[in-house]
Amino acid sequence: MNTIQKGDTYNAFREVWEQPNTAQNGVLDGLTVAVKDNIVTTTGTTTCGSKMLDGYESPFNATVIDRLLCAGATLVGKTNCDEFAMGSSTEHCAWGPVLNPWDTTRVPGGSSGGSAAAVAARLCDVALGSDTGGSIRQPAALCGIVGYKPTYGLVSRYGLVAFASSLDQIGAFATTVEDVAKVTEVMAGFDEFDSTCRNEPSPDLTTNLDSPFDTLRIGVAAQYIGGQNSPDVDSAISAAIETYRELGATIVDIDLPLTEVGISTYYVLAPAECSSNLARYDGIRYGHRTAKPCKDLFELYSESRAEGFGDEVKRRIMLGTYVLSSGYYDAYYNNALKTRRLISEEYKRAFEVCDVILGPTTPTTAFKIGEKADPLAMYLCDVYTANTNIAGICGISIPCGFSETTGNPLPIGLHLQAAWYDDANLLRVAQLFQKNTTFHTKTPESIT
Amino acid sequence: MKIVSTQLLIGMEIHVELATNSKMFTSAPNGAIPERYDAEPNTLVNPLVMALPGSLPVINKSAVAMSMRVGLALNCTISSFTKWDRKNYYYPDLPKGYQISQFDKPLCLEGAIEIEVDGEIKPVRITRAHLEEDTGKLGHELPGGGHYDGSLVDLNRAGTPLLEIVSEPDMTTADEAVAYGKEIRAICRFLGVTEGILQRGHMRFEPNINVVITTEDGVEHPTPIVEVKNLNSFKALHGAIEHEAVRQIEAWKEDGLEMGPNAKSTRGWDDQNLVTVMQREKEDAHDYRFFPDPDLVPLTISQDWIDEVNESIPELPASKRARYKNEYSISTKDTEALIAEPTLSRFFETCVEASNDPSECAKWLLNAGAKEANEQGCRVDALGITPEQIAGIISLRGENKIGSSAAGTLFVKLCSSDQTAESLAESEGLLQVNDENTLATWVQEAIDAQPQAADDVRQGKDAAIGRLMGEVMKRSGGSADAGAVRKQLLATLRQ
Amino acid sequence: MNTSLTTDEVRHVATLARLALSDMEIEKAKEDLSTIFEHISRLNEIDTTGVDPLDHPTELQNASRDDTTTSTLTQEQVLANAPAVKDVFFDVPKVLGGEA
Repeated sequence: MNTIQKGDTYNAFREVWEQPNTAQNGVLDGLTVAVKDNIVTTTGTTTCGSKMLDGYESPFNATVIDRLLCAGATLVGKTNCDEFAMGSSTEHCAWGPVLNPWDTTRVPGGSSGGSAAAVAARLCDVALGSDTGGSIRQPAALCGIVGYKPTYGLVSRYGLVAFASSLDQIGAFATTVEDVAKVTEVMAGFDEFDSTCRNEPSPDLTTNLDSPFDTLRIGVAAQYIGGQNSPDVDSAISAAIETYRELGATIVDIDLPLTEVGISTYYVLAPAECSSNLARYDGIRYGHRTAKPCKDLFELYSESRAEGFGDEVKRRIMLGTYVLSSGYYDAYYNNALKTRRLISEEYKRAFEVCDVILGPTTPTTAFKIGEKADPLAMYLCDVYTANTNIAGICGISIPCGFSETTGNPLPIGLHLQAAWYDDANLLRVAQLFQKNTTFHTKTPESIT
Repeated sequence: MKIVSTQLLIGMEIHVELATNSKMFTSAPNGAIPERYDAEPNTLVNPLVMALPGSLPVINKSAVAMSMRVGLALNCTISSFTKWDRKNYYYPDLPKGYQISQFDKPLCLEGAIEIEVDGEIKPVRITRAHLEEDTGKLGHELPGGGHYDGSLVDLNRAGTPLLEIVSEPDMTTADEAVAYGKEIRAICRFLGVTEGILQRGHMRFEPNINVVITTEDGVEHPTPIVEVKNLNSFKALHGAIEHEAVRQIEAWKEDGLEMGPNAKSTRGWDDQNLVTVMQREKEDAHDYRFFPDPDLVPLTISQDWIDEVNESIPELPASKRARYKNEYSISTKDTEALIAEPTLSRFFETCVEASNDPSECAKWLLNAGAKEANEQGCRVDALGITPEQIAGIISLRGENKIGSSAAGTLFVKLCSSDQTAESLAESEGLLQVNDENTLATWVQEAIDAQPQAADDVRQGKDAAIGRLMGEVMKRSGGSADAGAVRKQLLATLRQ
Repeated sequence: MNTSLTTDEVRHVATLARLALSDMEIEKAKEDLSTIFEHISRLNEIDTTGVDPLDHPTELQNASRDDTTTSTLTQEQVLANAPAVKDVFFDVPKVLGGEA
């Protein structure tokens, strides 16, 4: 058993690989990288946390995988996630729930929970995730590490198993801003295989990471404070604001009234796209096929899909099918697309008066496994993160404190968002905080 | 209520597989071009074609340009902004579980062409033409023969660029629908966007048919629209429409159903029994859940691009037809034969340029040329004979330097020769002999060989001259000028 | 807007989505979906008059490729993950015609 397998008492990894580094002297030489189980690799299998894809072997690598390998990274295995990246707790995984290294009775967040737990437990340097409504930033916050979702179109989605194509973006987890910047710089840039990837070379995210700011305006929205937040979260955010103020930043009040309706918008757009993206899992070319005798094709499809998909995936497929169906398209789907523009414009206005927007990543710290049985309660976890994806801007979660009220210290995440393709600045602002705080250096007690 | 009149109405959807090198949304090879017609099953497949997890589509620029060519040729407006939508439904030949198509922003809008039926010209309006992707194929036959009870999925065809051309219901007879289908096929073939081989499914026709029945009270009763799917021959197209024209009236007499929401149905053509059969009732109940494909981004089309494509459009069949008739004075029948093959018509025009004699060119290509091409199993323009050589034959004939059967022989020989018509005719001894002395010798020999025939001619029996001429021709090896021989014979025998 | 779904509507959606659900699952889905829709319906409180739908967050345009071919999968790779294969084809049980 290798060290990762030995150390992984959290079910973070679905499979662990032992393979030598293929490229030498690359910029990522010596860096160990875990891969979320919804990014295809020719090594091992890609299951998306679903029985549907049990044993599925991809004949091609995702673009990001090829780029990481070229840069000398060592890929160490696949991490568990919520099925097809749908969830905020990594409880909806066909291969069992992932445990939070800070408190193993609690969830690591999701859907990239395995990646977050792997990095939090220091089982690897970096882990890849995908973020559709918060699936990188929320688990990063709950696991006390850095999780960064680049601007939509910065990183190729080729090889990322699609959940909601217009919202999905690959990003990285690490313990430092520096590492996520380094890895993202390698992954980003034009890819001829992804029409939604911006036709520009990868931006320089690392050179100026430590450069001081002449001016820095940090926007804080009233909608991000108080309300459903736990007091610990609010006080950690207030402290973070103070830290930035002391570091010379100007704090600007901004108004983001569409914050709450973001969840409604998100839970129309994402399921709609998912209902169509997951139609290919029909048990014909690959994936699960029912063993039951079927009298017709309809039954073959319906039984195979019912057996292969878990409850949350089925729920979202039905939700999405409904909002696209005739008679409801305008009321739901088209209306959500219009609201999407309003949300996008709201951000545009905000970024006229500030450089980054600051708030909590999540309203609360990690919750207990099984605590959020009601789907809607789970959906509301994304309240501060979903709009980032709806508008396609970039966001990052960095550790900014711990809640000590529940026994084990539970990490709190600081959420920073910046405008479209202003990723280098976003990372600089995050780096500034990390350089002047020590939250990111703390490790969970459970690590052996 | 008594029916006083009926009016058949037909609109047509035509699917054209575009002959691009690669598929519509990915770089897998397209099977709709000749070198891949017989590709092994499931060999024109890459991750996107089989909808593997993580694969993504990217638009093939050539497919867009080809569609623009067709759109412009059909006098359509090319949209400056076009986008891509998903049409969601499940079928084993549809790997993604949706077809990428264009729903509300098609590439080409509002065009029209003219068709001709029984000498009458009629316009047919084009509603739209949009780009989409073809499906794979379900088969039931195992390689090497043998029926299979289940379905065998071959994805070679999946993802082939498909242009769907939708017309207004402007056709009123099966003949008009066939003429329209043929005209679209001819246009597409001249544009070089498809070989248009119907047996290979390069073009599929889907007529939307209904009948407006007028009863004696003056009320019009439109029957529910029937779409007949996937017809891949003009015979089937004609048959399906004729059958529906009768069936729908009979059905109306029985059930009185009229056109309306949820009344459209889909039928197929049974070419054994020559009837249409119900495939799906209530087509409208089918909920395709169209929505913009989030994996693709919209395409804007500049006027520069449109102009560039426009310039590349060759002369189209309608214009050729008019020109052949008016400028070249070629018969309608020959004109149709010449423009049946774009390569033939281009070859013909080069021959006309070389010879300046359109009707002789047409004659040579459609007679000797067609015969030889048939024997060789190739196209006329691929026989090896050049337009200059054909012009050479025509000019030798015009100057009476070669006889008609020798000219036929020369045509065949020129197919495998680089020489000019004249020099080959000369070296092969095919030129006519009309030198009087040589002819006189042969004539005398013929008279000596056929004394009885000679006597008959002397006594005024013209029919007997044939035998003597045959003798002369035999001696000359076919090179004697027949007219001159006849003159000589008569002169000798009836002095 | 009435946001609760009927059993028939849920059944119809499950049919469209090709998901075989038991009666109990249908009832559970009806409950869950109705709760979710109640929340989602807050969308209708937003005035979107005159707003253009935004399909793509970054409004990219005109990504396209040249008409060239690249390597294909081998027949073996194509069929490697298939649950059932017959000869060189994906094998589907007998289809009795019509749509699946």
